[in-house]
Amino acid sequence: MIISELALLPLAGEENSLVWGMVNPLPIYYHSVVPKEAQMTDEVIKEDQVLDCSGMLCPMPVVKATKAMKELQSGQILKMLATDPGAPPDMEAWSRQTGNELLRSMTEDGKFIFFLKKK
Amino acid sequence: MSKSDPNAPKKLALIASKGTLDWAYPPFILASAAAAMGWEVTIFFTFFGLPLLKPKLDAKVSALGNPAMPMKMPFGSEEFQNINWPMPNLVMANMPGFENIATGLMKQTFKNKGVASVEELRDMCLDLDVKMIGCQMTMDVFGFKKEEFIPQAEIGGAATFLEFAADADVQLFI
Repeated sequence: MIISELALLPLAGEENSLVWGMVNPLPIYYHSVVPKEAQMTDEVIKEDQVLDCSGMLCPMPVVKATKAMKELQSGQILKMLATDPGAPPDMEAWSRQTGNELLRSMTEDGKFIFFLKKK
Repeated sequence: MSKSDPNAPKKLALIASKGTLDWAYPPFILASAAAAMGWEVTIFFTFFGLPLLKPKLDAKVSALGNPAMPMKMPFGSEEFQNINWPMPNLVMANMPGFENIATGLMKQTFKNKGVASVEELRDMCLDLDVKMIGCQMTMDVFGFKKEEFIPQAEIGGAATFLEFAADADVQLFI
């Protein structure tokens, strides 16, 4: 009886992780720190190029953003979409490291949207 | 030189010393992300990391050295996929075929979640001018030849790596 119960445990859902003596690591999402005024403004930003990184995980969004930036001229704007919860802090770091300005970072329909201006 | 010129790009020096699939990811992920941020990157491949320079990668997951490694199933309902299946180390490490099964499961899970394959990541690194150096000593010991590696691979020794690492902003042994 014990054996048959054990055999069913993994199918019982998340609680079973305690039974197995294991910890189910829940992802910790880092919250984006973008200046309030950058998020509040209604001003429309006109992009020159759109890059969709939906469904891609680290490090693809930063790599794709770099490649897309190579096609743009200085001052042009890239609009980037991503679903990776790691993208907001990563794009901020990428912006600081590359010098390409992160004009706006926002969430829309469950997607992260970034407006990046080429240095 | 990053020390004297504030506008010089930052540098990342990595040592890739392990050849299993799980350990193959970190150096290529960090290298591609750093290169994407405009950093100069060099990866030094040594010991079991050296086969990562071969054109065709066959890195596998090993239960050895991964105590209590949980596995996830790449199929079924989301609830089912989120279950951590415990893999008793001593049992699985001795089970014939386990490495292939575990490798297949991990590759499929990664693919489903949108993680690039190790090959794709390496190609992106090369595309972003990441320098890859194979360890000459390991090649001599394990009988590798330069011709067996991807053409972009350079060959060097400890001094070659150290010279770059001495001036690097980040140095990691993986």
